[in-house]
Parts: sequence; C-alpha cells; structure tokens
Amino acid sequence: MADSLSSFNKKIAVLESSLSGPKLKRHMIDIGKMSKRVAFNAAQKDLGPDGEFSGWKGDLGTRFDHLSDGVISFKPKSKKSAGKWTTANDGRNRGMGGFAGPGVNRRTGLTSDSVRSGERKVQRQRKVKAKRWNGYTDGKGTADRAQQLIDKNVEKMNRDFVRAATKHLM
Amino acid sequence: MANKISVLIDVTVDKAVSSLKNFRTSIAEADGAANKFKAGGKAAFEGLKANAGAFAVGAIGSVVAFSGAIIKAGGEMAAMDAKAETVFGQSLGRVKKWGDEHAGAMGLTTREATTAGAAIADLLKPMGFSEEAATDNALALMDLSGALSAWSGGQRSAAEVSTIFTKAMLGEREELKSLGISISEADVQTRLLQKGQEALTGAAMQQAKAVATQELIYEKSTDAQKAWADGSMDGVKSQNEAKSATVRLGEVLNESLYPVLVNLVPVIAETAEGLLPLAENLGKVAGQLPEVFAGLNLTSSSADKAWRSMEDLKGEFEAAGISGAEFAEISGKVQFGVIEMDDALQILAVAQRENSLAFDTATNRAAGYVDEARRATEATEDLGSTTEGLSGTFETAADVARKYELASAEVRDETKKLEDAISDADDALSKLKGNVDQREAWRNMNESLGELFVAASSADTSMEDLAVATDDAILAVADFVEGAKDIPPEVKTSLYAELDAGNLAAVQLYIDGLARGVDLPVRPKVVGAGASLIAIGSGGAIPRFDDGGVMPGPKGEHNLALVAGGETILPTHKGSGAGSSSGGNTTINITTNADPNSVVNATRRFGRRNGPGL
Repeated sequence: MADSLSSFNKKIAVLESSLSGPKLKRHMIDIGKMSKRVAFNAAQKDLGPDGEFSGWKGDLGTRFDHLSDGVISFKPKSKKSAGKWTTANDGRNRGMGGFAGPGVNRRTGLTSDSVRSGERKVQRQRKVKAKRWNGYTDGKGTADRAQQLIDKNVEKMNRDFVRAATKHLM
Repeated sequence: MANKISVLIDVTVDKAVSSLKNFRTSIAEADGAANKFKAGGKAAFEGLKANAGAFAVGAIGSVVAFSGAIIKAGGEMAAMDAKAETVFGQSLGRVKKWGDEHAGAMGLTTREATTAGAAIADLLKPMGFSEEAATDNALALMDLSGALSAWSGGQRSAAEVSTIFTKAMLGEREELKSLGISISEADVQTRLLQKGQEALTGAAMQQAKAVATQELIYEKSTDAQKAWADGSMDGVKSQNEAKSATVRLGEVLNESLYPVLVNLVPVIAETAEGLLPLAENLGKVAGQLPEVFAGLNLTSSSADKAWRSMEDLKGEFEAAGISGAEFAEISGKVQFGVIEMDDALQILAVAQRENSLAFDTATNRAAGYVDEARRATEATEDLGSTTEGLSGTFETAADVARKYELASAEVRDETKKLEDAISDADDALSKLKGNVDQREAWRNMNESLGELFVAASSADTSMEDLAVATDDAILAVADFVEGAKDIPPEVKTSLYAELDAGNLAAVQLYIDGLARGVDLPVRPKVVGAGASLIAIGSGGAIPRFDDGGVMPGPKGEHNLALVAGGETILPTHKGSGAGSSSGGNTTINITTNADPNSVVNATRRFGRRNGPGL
C-alpha cells in the first residue's frame, strides 16, 4: 500500500506501463489469437471438424495485423477465405455477381446476340463471365456468430487486462 | 458483399495512458509541495513556537477540505470493510470469493456486494441466525438481487434490490411490489401456519417470518431466476461487468490514494500538536480561528481574503506581545506551504478527474463500440433483408433462365425434328429422283429395244446400223438394270454377264418377268390410207384377255390391253404354276402356321420376280 505521494506515483507509473507498450501489444496479440480461435470454432460448428467446406479446398482462414498501439485488424486471410466466410455466413449465390442474365451460356460464359431474330451471329464474351450455376445454399451465420463472440470476449479480456494492470494498487 | 468476419479492434487506452502521465506529473508536483509544507511547518515550529499553531491547525483543515472527497471515500471503504469483517467473521473469505465471481455481473464491485450482503447478514444474525446461516442467506439474496435488478430492466440496482430485501425481512414489504413481487402479511402468516410456526414468539418469530418472506420471494420470482440462470440476461450481465469494472477502478485509485493523504495529515498534525498548547493560551487568537479557517480554505480567488484575515490576526498577535517581524516570517512560510499544498491537491484533484474522465471516455468508447456492433448487427440484418430481396430477384432471374433453357431445349428438339424431316424429305426426294431416273431408264430401254426391233425387222437396215442399235439397246438395258432397286445384286451381275455376251433376249426376258406396274409408251398408229386416222391399240382396238389369248402385233411391241379387276395375267412363258416355265413342278415342304394359299402365292411372286433359273 502506498504511503507517500512518491510511492503512489511509482505505482501509477507501473499502471501506465501496464496499459501501454509491450504489455499492451501482448494483450492485442492475445485478442487476435482469441479471435482466430473463436472464428475456427464457429467454422467447425457449422462445417464440421476440419472447418472446411466439403468439395471446396482450403479452410476458412483468418489473420490479424497489429496496426498501432491498441489497434489490430482481424479479417479473412485471403480473398478466397473471404469468399468462404461470405458463403458460410450468407449462403451460396445469395450475393452480388455470378449470374449475368438469360443471354449467357452458363457452361461457356458466352452470349448469343440474336436470340430474338432466331439467327445466330458471332458470339461475344461478356465483361462478366458467368459461372456454371451451382444452386443456392442457406447461410449459417457463421461469421456473425463468431464476431458477436469476439466482441464479447474482447470486452471481458479488456476488463481482465485493466484488472491485472491495477492489481498492484490494491 | 463485404465479408462478415473483418473486425477492427481498438481498445482505446491511449487517452487513459495520456491522463495517467498527467496524473503522475500532478502527483510529483503535489509531493514536492508536501515536502515544502513539511519544511515550512518545521521551520514554523522552531521559529514561531506557539503562535504558528493556529495556522497549522488551519492547514490541517485545509488539507482535509481539499482532499475531503478522497479521504471520505477512503474512510467509507475502510468502514465498509470493517463492518463486513465483523458481520461475516470467519465467512468473510467465502463472501469475498463469491463477490469476485458474481459481483461484476450484478453491476457491483466486490466491496459493494460484500457490504450489501453484510447489511442483510447483519439483520439476520440478531434474529438468531448463526454466522454461517446468515452468510448463506445473505449470499442467496444477493444472487437474487442481481436477477431482479436485471429483471427490472435496470430500473433498480442490485444494491437497491438488496436494500428492499432487507426491509422486507423486517416486515416492510411494500417496496417489493416495485420488483413485481407482492407479499402480504396474510401470505406470511399462512406460510407460518403451514409450517406450524404460528405460535412462535420473539426472535424465533422474527426468524420464522424472515425465512417465510425469503421463501415467498423465491417462489414469486422464478421467471427472473430462470432468465438469470439460462443466459437470457447475459447482455445485461456484460453491461454490468463493464460498469462495475469502471467503478472498481475508481475504487482502487481512491483506495490507493487514501493512505497517502491520510499519511500527510499526521505530518501536519505533528506540527500542530506541538503548537496547540500555546495556541490555547491565545484566547483571542482562538476567537479568530473560524474566520482564519474560512480564509485558509484557500482557493486562488480567496487568497486575498485569507491574507486580510491574517492581517487582522497579526494585529491580535501583536497585541499578545508577539513581534510583527517574527509573525511575518513564520506565517509567511506556513502560508506558502499551505498554498503550495492547496495548489498541489487541486492539481491532484483535477488530475484524478481527468483520469476518471479518461476512463469514462474509455467506457463511453466501449459503449460506442457496443453501439457500433449493434448498428453493425442491425445493418447486417438490414443487409440480410436486402439480400433476401436480392435472392428473390435472383430466384426470379433463375426462373427465367430455367425457362429459357427449357425453351432452348424445346427449340433444339424441334430443330432436330426438322432436320430429321428434311433428311427424310431428302431421302424421299432422292428416292423419288431415283425412281424418276429409273423410269426414264425404263423408257430409254424400251425405246432402244423398239428401235432395235425396227432395225432388225427392216431389210434396209445396214449391219452397222443394226450393231449401233444393238449397242444402244444393250446400254439402255444395262442402265436400267443398274438403277433397278428390285433386282438383287447377284442377279444384276448375271444380267451384266448376259449383256456382255450379247444375250440381250435373255435379259429382256428376265426384265419382262419383273412384276411392276409402269406406264409403257404406247405409240399411236397410223391407220388407213393417207394417214388420216390415228388409232391406239392393236388395229385400233384394245383387246381383252379374260378368256386368255395372244396379244396381237409384232413380237416385243407393247400395246394396250383391258384387264378386269381380279383377273390373273399369266404370260405363256411362265406357265400356269410355279416353275412351270421350266417344264417341271417343284414340291416345297414348309412347316408353317400361315395360310397355305398365302405361302403358295408368295412363292409364285418370288418366281415371277426372279424369273426362271434365277
């Protein structure tokens, strides 16, 4: 227990260092690891023990980057991973893109200009090549659920972080 | 659509850390000021002896006044701890452990929860509850306080609810209604009657009533307990955790700063205690103390007033025999120290407010983050609705696509049918063309044969012309045989061989034997002198052969004949039965279920078609 202003000042200095610098960075890394773990668990829950779509190579990877003191970004590890997260969350073919209209041959992605005239002309490639239609799936809300849990855990971890930082004041 | 797992996590400690730096600077300044005060105080003691005591006492008041809030809070905390220790005794460790685990979810710090529980236990123990039983009941009611606080939607804090419980145990149950619980005296009496406790008296009756009230509270709050236990209130618990963490942080800082300030008081008091006996001898000075205290309760705006009070006091001191020079020297030092301490404590107070503000800011940011998360969730839900709309649109588009594909398939089928039809038509056309060609070949053959017959019959025909006519006839017959579909290939080979051998008559005989209905050229004949009459048929009449007979006219020349329906035409070279033309009958034994006449007719047709010996 502090018994003078100078000793109290030292304790406040310890509090300050506990809330910044390497300890803060360690705390942010812990948050990032927790987020990865929560995201993988959410993927496992919806997609099975390997956390992957069957027939779609690769897992729903995530990554975190330490941007500055007290700030990290947490996101899918690649564009492919982002697509898988979107599919897991919203379902397949529930978003924008892909289907480009009835004039497109889904197998080739080519269009026929002369549907009305009944006379086929030279085919041309559309700007957006249509993909072969593979149907709809229902979204499982995987990312939403993971994010809610991450938010909740971050709050708790922050509280524990401050509690640990102030423990020496008691 | 943006992926959903991207999160920017910002714990926003920068302002808190910045405030802590300022806080430390202020503490350092305060520490320096306090040291100056101590030095000033000692100097005052040595130099002023008795007179400075009054100012030192004033200084104590000043310190207490400026740090009052902190010292008051610290004192309260100490008092709370002392009460909890007394009430719970040996069970205090268990209570604190419970508080560490559950107080945050109720929005209380461990100390607050322990204090609230102590209030309940303090009530129960005089009723005859043992320390352990009182602790158990207090903790159970504190648990329920958290549930009912959340159930009230935050209208009542857990501490308030525990106070309501405390009152209810004493018989004041009216406030329970604000928690949705109605318990009347009759309810309690009925419960006592059920338990056979209606005849109890004194403390035993109080205890029985308290237990009955507690039981009724539990029985009438099952929904709240269930919601608290099954996770329905997790959101409220989380908010309470955040709230209690902030309060607890302030509590920790106060708790930590409290002994620092308390330690400063004896330093000042030590100086004062030595001076107070002298001050007591200065009755007139003591009479001025209230005003001095008011003046020494320094702020920058009241410094002049304080100084004026000191000027008045100086006159009193002079009247008491203390020299003005001594007074000025000592009072100046003491006042300087007090002012420094005043400033330092003000800075400290400001710094603490800043720090508190920083944590409030952090809390607000956290709340803002929660709001952001909620808005993001709402946006996600909106996006989900939009996506549902979009998916409906895409479903429509997909329907169109499917219809298009179906229509395309139908078109493809129709095209295939059309191609097949064209192919059939082409085949039919080819067949028709072949037939036409064959008919042309038939005509050419008969013309050539006719010309050959004419050439052979005419005495004027040279051998060369006859040879040409014969070659033409052979080519025409070969041409016909080549295109004839009803002549088997092996028969054609035989016929070509006959033609190569110049046996035109045999080939002609075979062709004549083919059953076919073709229009043969019938040449009009010039009858009578002067070619005035042109007749068709033999001699201008068309013969009938229903009774048999020989066609009139030159051999090989075709002419018209009338044939009645159902009438059979049997050329003389075919005979009257199968194989008759070869001069003998052939007996064929066939085991068949078919009509024997049909078999015979089929055999005859075969004979007619393929000719004798072929």
